[in-house]
Amino acid sequence: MSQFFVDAAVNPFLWSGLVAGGLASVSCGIVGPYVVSRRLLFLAGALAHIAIGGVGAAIYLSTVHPTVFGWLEPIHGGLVAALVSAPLLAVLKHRVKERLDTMVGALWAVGMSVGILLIKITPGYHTELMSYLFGNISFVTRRDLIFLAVLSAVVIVTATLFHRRFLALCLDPEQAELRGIPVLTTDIVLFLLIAATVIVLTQIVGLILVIALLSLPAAIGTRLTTRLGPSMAVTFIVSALVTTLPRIAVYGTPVSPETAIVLATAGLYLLIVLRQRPRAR
Amino acid sequence: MTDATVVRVADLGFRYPRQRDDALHEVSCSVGSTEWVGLLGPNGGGKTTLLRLLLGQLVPDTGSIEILGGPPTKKRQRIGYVPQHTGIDPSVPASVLDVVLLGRLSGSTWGPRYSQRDRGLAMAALEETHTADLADRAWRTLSGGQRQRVLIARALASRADLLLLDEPTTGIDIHREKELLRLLEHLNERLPIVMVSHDIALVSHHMDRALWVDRTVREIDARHLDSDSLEHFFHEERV
Repeated sequence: MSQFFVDAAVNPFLWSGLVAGGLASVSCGIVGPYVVSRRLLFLAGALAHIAIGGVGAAIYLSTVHPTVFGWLEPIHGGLVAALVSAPLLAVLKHRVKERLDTMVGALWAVGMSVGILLIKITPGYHTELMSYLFGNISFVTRRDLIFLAVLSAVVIVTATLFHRRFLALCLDPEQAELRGIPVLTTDIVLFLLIAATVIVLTQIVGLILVIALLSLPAAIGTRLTTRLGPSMAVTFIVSALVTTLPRIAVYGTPVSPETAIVLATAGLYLLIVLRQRPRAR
Repeated sequence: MTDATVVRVADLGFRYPRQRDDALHEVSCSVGSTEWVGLLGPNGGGKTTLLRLLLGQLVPDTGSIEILGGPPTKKRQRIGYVPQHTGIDPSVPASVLDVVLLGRLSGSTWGPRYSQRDRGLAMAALEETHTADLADRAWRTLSGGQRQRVLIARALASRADLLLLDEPTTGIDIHREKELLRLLEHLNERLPIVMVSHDIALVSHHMDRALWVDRTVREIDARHLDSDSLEHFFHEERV
């Protein structure tokens, strides 16, 4: 563990990785409890996988037509695919009363397949998809940090503005509608927020870690508190701890930091579930 | 005391999509401003459909509905609705006060916090339903009877001029049911109430008038209601 701090003196990437974890925790701390409370984890996972189609399209276009699309980066494609899919998924959630899981699952699979197909037919050897899946928290650039800071600001402003509406949707959508809240529009805003969070975080920590970070700390936060606001604070603290301590602990070992983060978070969640008495009815 | 009409339904017809028969057919009825009216009828007879039409959640195919002098969609904010099955997800971390404050939501709700006035109205509603001591409790820890009282508090927090209740006594014990009915009696001194119920004794004891809803609606004298007369209605409608 001490080796981490010795190397950190000469390797700024180690610090930027920690800062990235802290910034990611802000978004996860706010968006995670909404995702868990509104039971949207499956849809958030679908958004992340549908975005692979956009990642593939961006890689294909920038390689095959470099004069026109040379500026295009994989995350641009992923972001467009996720932001276009978010309202679509929100509409599906409201309009399709049966077999929603089947339709979302189909979109999830189609998005991934299109992405893999496009990467396969793109000339050359491409590692971007692996980076999308597993992230690279050890080599977070200054640009990534700016990206994360902007995301955090967008998440904070949107959640501040919409918090009571989001809480109403999490608690009782029927009552929210009767009280004059446009439920579909509010859900679309929430889904866009989730899409932006998922994609920007995926660029840094990877698809698998982003699902874990959106769900497990929020599951702990909502379990340990009785109000949504405090659950966001707990979720932020848990996220910040699990994106920091495990990666310092496994530094210099063959265990990847992303894996350590996921396993530590899952272990902490399991510990809390086992130690907590069953909830009063 | 004058009894102005707060609910006026005329020649109402409604059919769900892809259904062959009307759920409600040529329904006409009214509710006065001091009344407590029961909605009785067989399962699938259209009681909840009628409530949803009154709330403006469904739109009639024919006829008209007037609530508090206007169409339901315009007057929705003045209706306090207590559903049969609460849609409140117990896994969401929320206090009782959070739930009651939902009654203060409106289309102009923005920002993270409710105003002092909203919180004051929510607390006053909790006081009126004798649940103020539960304000900081987690919603998920409440019993069925407590939940029903809190949902009525939520309806009151919206400063409703009409209460619609869908089987509010379902699933609560006899003691809590009595408490709840005393509360509703008290509220009926200033609010009209329309309440779906399957409990004949409850309806005949607390209400003067009831509506028998079985695809169509017919008025019945609740004071002389017993199981024999109800069976007669049921048989008559089916024949």
